Amino acid sequence: MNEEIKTPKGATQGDAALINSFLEGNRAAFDQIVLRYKDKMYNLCYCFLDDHEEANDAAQEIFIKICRSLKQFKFKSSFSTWLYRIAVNTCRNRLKSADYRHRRKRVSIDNPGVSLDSPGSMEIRDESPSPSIELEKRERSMLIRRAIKSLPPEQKTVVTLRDIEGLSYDEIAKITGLHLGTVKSKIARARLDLKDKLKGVI
Amino acid sequence: MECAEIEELLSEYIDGILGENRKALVEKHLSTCQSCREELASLKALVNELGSLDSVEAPRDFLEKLHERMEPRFGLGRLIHWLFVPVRIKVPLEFATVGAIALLIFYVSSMEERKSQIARAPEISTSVQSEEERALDTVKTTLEKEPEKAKRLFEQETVRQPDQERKTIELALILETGTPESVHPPSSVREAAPAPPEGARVAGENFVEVARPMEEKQVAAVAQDVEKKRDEPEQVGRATEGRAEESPISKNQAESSRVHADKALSKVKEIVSRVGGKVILVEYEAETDRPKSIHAEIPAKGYRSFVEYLEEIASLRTPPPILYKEDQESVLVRIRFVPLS
Repeated sequence: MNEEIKTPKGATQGDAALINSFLEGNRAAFDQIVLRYKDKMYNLCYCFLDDHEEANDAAQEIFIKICRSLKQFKFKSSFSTWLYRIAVNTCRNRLKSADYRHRRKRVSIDNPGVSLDSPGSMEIRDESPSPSIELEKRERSMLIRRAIKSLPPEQKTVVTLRDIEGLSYDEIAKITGLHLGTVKSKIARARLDLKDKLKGVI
Repeated sequence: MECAEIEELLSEYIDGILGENRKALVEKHLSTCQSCREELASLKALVNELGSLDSVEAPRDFLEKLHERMEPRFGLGRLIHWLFVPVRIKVPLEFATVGAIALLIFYVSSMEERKSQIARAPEISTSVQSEEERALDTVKTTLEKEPEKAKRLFEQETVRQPDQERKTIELALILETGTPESVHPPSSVREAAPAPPEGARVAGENFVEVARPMEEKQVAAVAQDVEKKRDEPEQVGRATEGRAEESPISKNQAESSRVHADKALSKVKEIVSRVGGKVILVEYEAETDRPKSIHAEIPAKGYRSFVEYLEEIASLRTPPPILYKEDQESVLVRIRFVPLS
């Protein structure tokens, strides 16, 4: 069981030290925190929002929120748990927002079936020749992401945190505020649903 | 256990969080159920696939962009951001627009009011006319009691005349010096000026506090009193006393000139009243008691008629100036009586 999110290799200072340094006025410490978690946050946002631009914007919003509210962080939970909680709430709020829904609707009407910001379209920009296996893998990734995206919000959240981000059940319960039993059942339900949705793909 | 119950535990079984008892039950069922084993294999494949999904990385300039987004909190960019983004939680722009329009209206209306105050200024001066006349009476009374003081005031006002904002139009009326057909006594002409009411009194300091239009009237009153006192030399003590030693011929000429001037003066006064103006001041030569000039205030719209009437009674030395500013209420004119020589 991983009780805390793995920190990137080469990280010499713990989160708490960086936070204290930042609170003492060292802005570079905050940059260190950003560099440490930016990819995880970006990936998480992308899993939720399925849009690179939205994911980038949401990830930046997360760090801005963190910067503003670090003074209120009392170390009652791990920093990563707190960070993920803010990230999950940010993504949920974005998904609920009218702007996001309008935008997604517009994209689907303009180009039904394929989002302009879908991973496939982003990866087409890579000019290096892709082997057929690599292409098949990418297509499979795209289908899996779409299947996750189609899940109910709570199932999507828990299965993302568990199977993509690799968080423990306890951690997920703390982040989402759900009971541990609910987390277990929702993860089981989400997996079964995904298995059905991806029949023939996996 | 039934397959459906086992299926719900497979997720936890994969993650290794089942208790020993339930784990044993699941394993016992799996050993005998092909379908559930296949289900377990599918779930394991799914979890592996999810775990091996390519993770996307943040753009390389993520930190720089984040700095840019946070830095605008300092300076103009921050102000603009604070004011307008996001608009939905800011004060609606409509309110700001309404406020701006209200300020504009207030500014314009205050400007208009100022203009109208300037335009009303002459009306105000005429509306206080009765008070001015009262002040005139007091001046006259003062003149009777303190002739030297009044004379100083008269001289002072005469000197200040050119400095006034309203320029006096100078006209010179050329008078013939032949024997007059009939000589009107000067006193009959001088009755055109309003007679002061009896018994008015004022302290000397009040002269200074009277507004400029009133001062002009004070001067007129002083002048009129000078006229009256000329008729009553024993009261005023005029400077012309003691000059009766001139030759009879020159005295005759002087008398003739004086009579002509008096006649012209009476006509000018009549013209002034005909065009709706008023006499402000009559100047006399100290030695001969001959009317030297008359100051009058003429309504601007009656200026043209005034000049025409003047030219009927005598010729003007120089053509009268054309009044361009006809929007002003009145003009000051000074007509000098110049003997033809």
